Amino acid sequence: MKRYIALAAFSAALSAPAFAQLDGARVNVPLPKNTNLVGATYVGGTANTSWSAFNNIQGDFDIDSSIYALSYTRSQPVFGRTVHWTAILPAGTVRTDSPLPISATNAYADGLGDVSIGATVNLFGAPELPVRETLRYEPNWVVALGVMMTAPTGSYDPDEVLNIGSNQWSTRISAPIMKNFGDWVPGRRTILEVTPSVRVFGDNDDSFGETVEQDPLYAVEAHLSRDMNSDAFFSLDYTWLDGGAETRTSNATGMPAGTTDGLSAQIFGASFGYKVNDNLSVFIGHQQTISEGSDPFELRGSLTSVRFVWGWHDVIQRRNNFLN
Amino acid sequence: MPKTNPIKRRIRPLLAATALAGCLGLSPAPAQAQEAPDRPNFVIIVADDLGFSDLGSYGGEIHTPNLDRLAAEGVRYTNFYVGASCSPTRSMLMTGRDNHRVGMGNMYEMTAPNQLTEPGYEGVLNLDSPTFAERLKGAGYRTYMTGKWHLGHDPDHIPHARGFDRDFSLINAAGSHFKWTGSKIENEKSEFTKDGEYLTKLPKNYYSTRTFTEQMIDFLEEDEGDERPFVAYLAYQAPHDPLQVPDGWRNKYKGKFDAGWDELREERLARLKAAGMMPETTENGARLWYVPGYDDVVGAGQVQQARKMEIYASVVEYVDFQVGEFLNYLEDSGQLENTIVLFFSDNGPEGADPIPGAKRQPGLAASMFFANNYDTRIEAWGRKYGFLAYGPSWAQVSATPFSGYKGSLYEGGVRSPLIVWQPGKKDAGAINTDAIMHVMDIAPTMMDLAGVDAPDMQGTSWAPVLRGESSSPRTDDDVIAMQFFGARMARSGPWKAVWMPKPYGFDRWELFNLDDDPGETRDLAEAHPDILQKLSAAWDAYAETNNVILPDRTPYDGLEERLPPRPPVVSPGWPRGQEHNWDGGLGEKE
Repeated sequence: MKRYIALAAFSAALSAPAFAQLDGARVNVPLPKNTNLVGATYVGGTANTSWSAFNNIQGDFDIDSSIYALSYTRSQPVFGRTVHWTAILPAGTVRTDSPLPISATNAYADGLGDVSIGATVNLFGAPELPVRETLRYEPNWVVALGVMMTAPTGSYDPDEVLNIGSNQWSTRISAPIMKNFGDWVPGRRTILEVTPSVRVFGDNDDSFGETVEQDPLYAVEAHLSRDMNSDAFFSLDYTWLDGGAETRTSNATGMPAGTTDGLSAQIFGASFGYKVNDNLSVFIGHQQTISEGSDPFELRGSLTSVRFVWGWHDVIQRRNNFLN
Repeated sequence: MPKTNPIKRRIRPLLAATALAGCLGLSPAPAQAQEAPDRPNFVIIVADDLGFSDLGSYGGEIHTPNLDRLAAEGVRYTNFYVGASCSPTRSMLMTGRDNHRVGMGNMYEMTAPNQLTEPGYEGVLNLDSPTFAERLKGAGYRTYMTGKWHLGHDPDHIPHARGFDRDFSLINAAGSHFKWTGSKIENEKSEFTKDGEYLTKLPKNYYSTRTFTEQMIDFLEEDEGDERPFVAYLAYQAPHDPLQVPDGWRNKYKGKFDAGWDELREERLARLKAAGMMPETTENGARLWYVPGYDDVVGAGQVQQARKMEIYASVVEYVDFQVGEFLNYLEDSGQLENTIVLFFSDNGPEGADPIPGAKRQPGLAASMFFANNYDTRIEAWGRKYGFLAYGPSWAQVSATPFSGYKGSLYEGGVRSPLIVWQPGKKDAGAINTDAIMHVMDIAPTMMDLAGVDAPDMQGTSWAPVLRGESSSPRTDDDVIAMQFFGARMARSGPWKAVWMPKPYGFDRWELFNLDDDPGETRDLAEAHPDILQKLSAAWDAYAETNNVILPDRTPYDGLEERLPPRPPVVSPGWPRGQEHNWDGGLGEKE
């Protein structure tokens, strides 16, 4: 059973929670005050796993996930600092076509995922930015603190290996760091973003009759992006993940029911962003996961994401309406 | 430069140079070296399109500590006239003669059809008019120039051919401060010369203000063993547009001008009055009718406008920084002690901006020149590839307290700051509001002090003023007169008659008493018709003497139709109208 949980955890790491775990390039670029962003995201994930340490499971698993998420972000300063408030509602499906060793389990799950709500507060380099100030804003170093809470609101069946929801609270704390190189002029920007983060988990109190305690999951996400022209950028992406080991305790006996090693993976990829017009932007990315090979198992997988973001600012919108 | 016996220093090079020039037949001018008790070096530093009140020592809020120090150790003059535009001023500086006589009766770029074939309107500094460099060179001076020339680009007309031993020159009127890119389609690529050779490669890390300074220092360093006196003409291209400044300087004034142009003008005027540089009765010239009150600009529109002045101020401060570098070199090398230093601007601040017009006509090659060569977006302003001109609203600030700006014969176009520093810091910190002076006086002043006879010059030597023998080189009966683009002015004592074409003026003579009203806000033409008659007659005489041909085509043609109509009453509080480079603002409620 443990390995199914691990499998699910890995799949989850690459799918629904991954959406929150992997921010993407230029997500933390400070926005003008009172900017609204509505995002629609598709993340398609495939996980190829091969157990190497446990001999009670043989063969590879192919787990495919299709996660859709709606997100809303608003830049609403607090105490004179730029703050991005964000809410994410994921949904989707997870399936595997591989034969599962326990015939009673389903190889498919769908439904709503866990809702996440959080904020990223700029600490250095980006005071609140009324539209007028963005005209002369030139970031150099930008350092922020992000907190994102995920609630166990998603679809969850304690007797299934695969779930969209996690049945556990979690909180991600991050420190996005952005460094602008060169000229802050559309078409000329080069940005390095590094976001260390840790996600701490509450207990999942019912997974096959067991309570699951999960260790923190550490991550460092990095993007080096460069404008291709005034409306498009290209990014090289890298993420390092480590942690998330599980300890299971039987709810019936209170006795330890086993442990599962955490993840240790690196994700490389590239992404592309394009501003279609003053309101609409599209981001396309592909990430390939390469396990560090930390025993007891080796993980491989990939994510392909497409995100549409519709942004507006009341003042700018009124101006554009007037001029058009 | 090592200290030398002043007598040896005076005579030996004079004899050597005179002998050499005679042998080679090089003396191009009717200059004649005479025995002079002391022959000082001359340093002439010229800014391009700097306003009257931009310097800290002239009431400005821009940080200019080096020029302020020069002012504190020298004398500031408040009634110094230059031409209304670039090359005519430079022609008068070079020759000591009226621009209509020396080939720059109009700017080359604006010569009217009826002036094209007329002598005095060649569009270059004609060869009949010797420059101060030629005269001083003939009298044994070393002659150096770095910076903007704009007086002819043919081999016969470049600085080396016009008397400068050493030069590093931008030949054109304007262009990028960082590279070859010119300023408009007729001038797609700038020309540079060094020591008479047309350059094909610019020095590493070229930035006009820095490079012009460094080149001048290099010239002087190389000749430190030469005991002849020298004249160094350092003609900065800044703060002429495009406003560009090295990285690290661009954001020095972020937020400093958010109070806007109206308040800034009042603050500058208050400081000028407090310093005794303007009379208590001074009122600022009326805000141009098509410039909105700053309070009527909202939200991002204000920041967009303020950003222009922020960049301009950075460019000006960088000029000051380089002036400091140069003066420090002179002082450290011992060359400052026998040097007279002058600093001024070639004309008033530039209020025109070519970009909005180009954007309205994107199909024109002239417009596409900007699209192909510059980035005009706000994010690029001040950068090496950006193009910014700060427009009429801020030009009026730079011209405080005067009306008008570059091109105008209202005082804002032709009144320049002037700092004169003399050896021994003579009259340190003095402010001279009496002396009515003209850029045409500088060459004869140098001739006078160098003991060079130049009777054909029309300017008036300042030597008596510099020696403390007089407070002004002119009496109340003397007249200063000019003509630019059909505009006319004549000043005598406190009175000034000015004829400005519509829409900036009224196509008629106006009369102002500048002792009471430097801002030219109270037209006294009806109250003093006799004075007006006298001055208009004086202008007629000036025109006759100097072959002034009023142009049959001017930049004012059609302008009345393109600008918003003037209100019946000019009121600073009147919110109507838009400046023609107005890009539109964003109203924002915080």
